[in-house]
Formats: sequence, structure tokens, C-alpha cells
Amino acid sequence: MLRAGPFSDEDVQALAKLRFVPFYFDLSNAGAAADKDARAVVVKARKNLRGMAVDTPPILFMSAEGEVLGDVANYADTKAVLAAMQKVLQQHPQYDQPSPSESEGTPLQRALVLAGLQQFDDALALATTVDEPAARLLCARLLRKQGKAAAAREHLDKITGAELVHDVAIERSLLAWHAGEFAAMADLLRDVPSEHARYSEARYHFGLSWFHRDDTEQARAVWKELVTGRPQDRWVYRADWAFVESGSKPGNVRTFRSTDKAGLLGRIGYMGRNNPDLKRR
Amino acid sequence: MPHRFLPSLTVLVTAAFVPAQNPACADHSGMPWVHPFTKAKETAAAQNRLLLVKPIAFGTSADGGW
Repeated sequence: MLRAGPFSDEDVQALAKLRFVPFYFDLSNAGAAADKDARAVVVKARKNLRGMAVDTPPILFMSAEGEVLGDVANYADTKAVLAAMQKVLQQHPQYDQPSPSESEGTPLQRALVLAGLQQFDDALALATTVDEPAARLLCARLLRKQGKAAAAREHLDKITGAELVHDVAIERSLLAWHAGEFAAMADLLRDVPSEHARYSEARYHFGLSWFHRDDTEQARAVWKELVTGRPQDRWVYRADWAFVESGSKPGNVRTFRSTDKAGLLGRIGYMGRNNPDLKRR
Repeated sequence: MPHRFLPSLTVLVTAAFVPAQNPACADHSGMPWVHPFTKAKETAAAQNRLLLVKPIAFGTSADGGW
């Protein structure tokens, strides 16, 4: 399980899949996720991680030969992690070369690759050449990320048929979320069926719609039902994070000690400090 | 009451026990973790990619989560 913060972000994941080989391990050889080979390489590169007690280590960007080429703090937010990933690629372009398969595929598939590489303008230019509902959905998503809500809605308005009706509703709800239209957000998400692939995402945001209308009890009920009733995924992790934080006293700072309140999943460490989605607007 | 740390700021790093193998990735976030490290290194070398390494100083549970 990973932190519910940056590593569960879709953009971080997409770039990681395209340009990195992600690996995690427990620095303690007593931990279940211990890896003595990794420990040997990492403590050789970062001697401050060698001791019996160490500060929280950063996320490291390393060559296969064990050279550390960059890092980013463990508690960095999603934006900072993404920026650090992009920075290390810019500084070491030999690791930023496209794979042979990236130039293949349909225009929509190539647009998805460009989106994953955070080249939103190029992705948008390519996706707009495709007259398919899925391409319009991608255009709307990219435009939303660029803060162009009206243009995003224009694409969503042109998606007809039943196939993507719930995806469109979720995308509209995310536009409502960014606009602070929480009641509209709830209306859009209420009827997403449990068998839909993005159900967890929908329920997480449905909980947020209650939280930001000052009904924390209802929000927590939604998140609890999601966490306890669904297979784990990144939205379940994030819901667990929101559940814990929304049940804490205002101003209560997570210490990451065993005295911290664990989530419904029984964990502490992966959550990060503050769930940014709960910041009052 | 004793103050027991499950540390992100500090961790006891002991070489007393080395598990037979890293448990299969217990993460369900969609992050494409590659385990174990030897395989991650081989993959990075073969694909000419950088390793993104997340050391955990919090302790991991039996399923490899934290």
C-alpha cells in the first residue's frame, strides 16, 4: 500500500509508468517489505540512511547503476512530486526517450501517451482530431486540468449515447468540484452504479460533496462505506485518509507515531500529512 | 504511559532478521511498482529508465504495506 497522496495521483502514476521504474522497500531489514539489495545500494548513495535511526527518507530518482540523480521530500505534495519527476528527466534526457511502442497505436492512444507525459497541449491537439466519444472525454479531462471549464463542458455536451454517461457525469462533477459547486457535484455522482469502473472515485468525491457542505457525518459515512465495502484502490486509500482526517480535531497535526489514529484500513504511515481535498474553500 | 514510536521520523533499522523475500506488492493504487530491487534494476537498465525509489522508514506490515 502506498501513500494516499502523490503516488495515488493519476498524473504521477501516468508519468511513472511511461518514464520510471518505481520500487519501494522497507529500510529496516526486519520489515516485511525489506530488500537487502536495495538497502545496500541506497545506504551507499545516502549514508545518512545507514544508521539505527534515520529521518524520513526522500523519494530517490536513481540510475540502474545506483547513482542518485534527484530526489523529492517524502511529504511533498502531488505538484512537487510531479515537478521533481519532470525536472530529473529534463536534466537527464537520455532517460526521457520514447519507447518504440509510443509512436504506434491509434491517435487516441498516442494522445493518451502525450497526456501521460504531461504534454497537454499536444495531447489535446491530437485528441481533437478524433471524432469518438472517448476522445471527447479525454479532451474534457485535459481542458479541466488546464482550468478551461467552459471548453471542457463543450466537449462533454457533444458526447451522446449511454456508453459513457457515467464517465461524463463524473467528469462534470469534477468540474463542479473545482468550481465549488458541491450540491451540483452530489447530484451528478449520486447515481453512478457500483459496477462502474470509476465507482470508487465517484463515491470518494460524493463524500467530499457532503464534507464541503458542512455535513461531515454524512461524508464520513460515505467514505466508511467505501473503505469497508470495496476492494482497495487508490480512491479507497484516499477515502481512508479523508475519514481519519475528518474525524480529527481541527488543527490536529499527524505525528506519524503509533499514537496516531490509524485508518479504517489499519494503517498510519501511508497517508501523508493533510488531505488537500479537505481544505475548506 | 510509555511513548512508543512507529517512526517516520525515526526508525530502528536492524539487520537481525531478513525475510526470505519481499512480499508481492500489496499496493492497489495503480502505481506500477516493480519488485524485487534486482528486477527493478534490470528493468530500468533494459528500458533505459530511471528508478523511482521510495524507502520506507515507518516499518511495513506483514503484507508489505505501510
